Amino acid sequence: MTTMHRIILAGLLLCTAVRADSSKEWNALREKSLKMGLDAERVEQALGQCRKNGLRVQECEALLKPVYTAQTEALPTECVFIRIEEGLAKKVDAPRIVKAAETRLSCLRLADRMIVAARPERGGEHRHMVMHTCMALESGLPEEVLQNIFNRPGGFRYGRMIQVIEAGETLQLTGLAPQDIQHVMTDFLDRDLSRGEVLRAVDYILAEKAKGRDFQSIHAELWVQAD
Amino acid sequence: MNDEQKLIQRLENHRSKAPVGFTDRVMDALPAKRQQRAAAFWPAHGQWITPAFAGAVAMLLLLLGLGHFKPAAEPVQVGFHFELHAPGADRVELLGTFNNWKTDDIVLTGPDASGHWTATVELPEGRHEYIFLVDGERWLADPKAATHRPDGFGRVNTVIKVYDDNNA
Repeated sequence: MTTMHRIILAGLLLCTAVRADSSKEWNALREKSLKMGLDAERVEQALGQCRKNGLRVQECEALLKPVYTAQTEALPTECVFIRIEEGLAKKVDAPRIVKAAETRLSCLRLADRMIVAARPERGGEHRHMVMHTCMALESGLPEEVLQNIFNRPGGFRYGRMIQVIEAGETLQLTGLAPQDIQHVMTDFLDRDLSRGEVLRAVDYILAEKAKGRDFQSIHAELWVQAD
Repeated sequence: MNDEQKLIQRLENHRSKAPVGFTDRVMDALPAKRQQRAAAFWPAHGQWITPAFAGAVAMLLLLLGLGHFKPAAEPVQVGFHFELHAPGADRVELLGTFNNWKTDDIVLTGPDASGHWTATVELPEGRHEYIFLVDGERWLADPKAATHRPDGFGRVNTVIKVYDDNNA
């Protein structure tokens, strides 16, 4: 056996050892995630994507840390998972994905606090509403608008409130002013509109806004037919 | 001799002897084995009351239970049509919250003669975000959609709300 052969053999043995070690680490991370009670499919997908993107186990663990925290705090983990999955799919650098996941976690915490302040028990569709509120906040809908909506006298029903938050987010994304959005959201709740009616009203506002009309004139016409 | 004994005596005197061979003829006429009587559908002597009552109570509870039981509602799926005009593209993918941003999952069909790529995807009702990936490198928001949202990674996602018209 020549020296060259010896070097190649040593290299191959080293590679095999490193691979085995790395595989053990990935398994340990998988086990840790599953023991925390996370959804197995999401864990597999996240780990698979981490490996596909060439991340090290430690980097992937750093990505999953906000998910672990969300799980511990009984916040919707799927909402953090989806952020990580999006970042990985778009080949974003790991530190940026960690930051985005942490931002999502903070947003979920804030949403949870806001809702609980208005309706102390975490029942029914609370998790759902936390997710929608967080999405609206991330889309730029001001916290005060949502707080004012949650704290309206008379309380709220989860299902109806989720529709109104979705509508508020859409109006925010199309550039309506926050005070106008709050006005419309309050209208929806006061009038106890169904989901179909809320969708129609939002479509109408968007269509009229696209024509260049101002909110006051759109709003003046909005309820004419209903009244 | 009292009256009772007299009566017994009179009855015994009244009985005549059976003809010769009578017993053998009767025994020959009988079947070799006693036929088993089929079990009756209804238990005799009022034994049916307890099981029948128990059955009626069970049925009542079942009916009451069915009245209160609501099977877990399946999430309503709505077929949604995606379309992108990308005449020069070799491959167009669709990634979104509905497929957990998986690559190599939903590939659009096309291009047609006018350069359009299309896919109809069954989506659960609700809010979704998505983006098109063209040729594995260009990320494009849906130019036909009304609502877009910065993704925080320097790109823009399209936001849609999908609801079944019959369910709205």
